[in-house]
Amino acid sequence: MALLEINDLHVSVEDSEILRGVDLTIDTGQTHAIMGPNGSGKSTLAKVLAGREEYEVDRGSVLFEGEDILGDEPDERAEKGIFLAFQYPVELPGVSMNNFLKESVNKVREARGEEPLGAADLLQQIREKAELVGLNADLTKRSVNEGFSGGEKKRNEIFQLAMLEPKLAIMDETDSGLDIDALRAVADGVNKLRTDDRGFMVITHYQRLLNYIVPDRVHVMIDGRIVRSGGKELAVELEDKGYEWVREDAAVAA
Amino acid sequence: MFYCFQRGLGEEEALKLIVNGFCKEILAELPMEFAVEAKELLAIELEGSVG
Ligand SMILES: Nc1ncnc2c1ncn2[C@@H]1O[C@H](COP(=O)(O)OP(=O)(O)OP(=O)(O)O)[C@@H](O)[C@H]1O
Ligand SMILES: [Mg+2]
Repeated sequence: MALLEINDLHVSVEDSEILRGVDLTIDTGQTHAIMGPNGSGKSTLAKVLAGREEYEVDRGSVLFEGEDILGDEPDERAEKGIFLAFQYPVELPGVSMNNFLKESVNKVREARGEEPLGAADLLQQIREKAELVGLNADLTKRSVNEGFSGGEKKRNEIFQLAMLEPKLAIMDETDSGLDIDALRAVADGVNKLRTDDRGFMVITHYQRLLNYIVPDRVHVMIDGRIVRSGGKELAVELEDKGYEWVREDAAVAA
Repeated sequence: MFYCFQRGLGEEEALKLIVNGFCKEILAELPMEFAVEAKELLAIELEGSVG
């Protein structure tokens, strides 16, 4: 069964249409990359899937494990196993990582019908998962993202992904702003988290990331539509020829 | 807030966490400011008594 099925999704913000008929299906266990020029609607798609309120869904459906989720609140979607690694993670001054993780992990565990983690188990998990994704464990003693470097914030997102064990992980440009070593570390972390019962949607501008996180499918979004899909070689072709080439193709087809 | 929701927290839990965090930050800064203010007050009083 499809993990995520998006049908003819139209989304607008303040009366301007941003997504103009997105169709996309991700099976469980698969990793799909989404590429496309700035402003084409990639982050909008990610945020709509996570339930951000300011986006108006005008038409279409989003099924998660066969169930329409468009009426669900953002936290309900998180509980169902949808995780969004933010393009710009926010800082929460004075909110300790430990506290935040305790609340968040236990909410999601409760939704899965699991027992809450006690303090010792939580610390153990934090240590394990921080190591898995290469997050400096000292960061888990600070306030959430406060004063973290750009790269540390991105790693912290992958760390939380590891902690929450979602069914669908959406990564919005987790690779931008990372140096080469950090990119490798994040990609390694993600690869360790790829399992048969988890799907990934990886939004990126760089084919380089897809050398490390090898996707099953690559989609190109232009002007709020997916205009082309292919295997991992599509990313290489894009790197070579740019988006103009796909844009022309799409215009001919339309 | 949306960040907290995305991580599974409900409205009340998110609010509580954020407000608590804020208060903690302010309290952490208070002793310093309080000290400065106290010093300034003291200085004014001294000036007054001399003049
Ligand atoms: N909340 C909003 N209010 C107004 N306009 C918005 C809002 N969110 C997105 N848009 C507009 O929708 C379009 C798509 O934005 P989006 O962030 O989805 O692009 P993107 O594909 O993620 O781009 P990038 O590669 O630069 O991250 C842009 O023109 C943007 O200005
Ligand atoms: Mg974006």
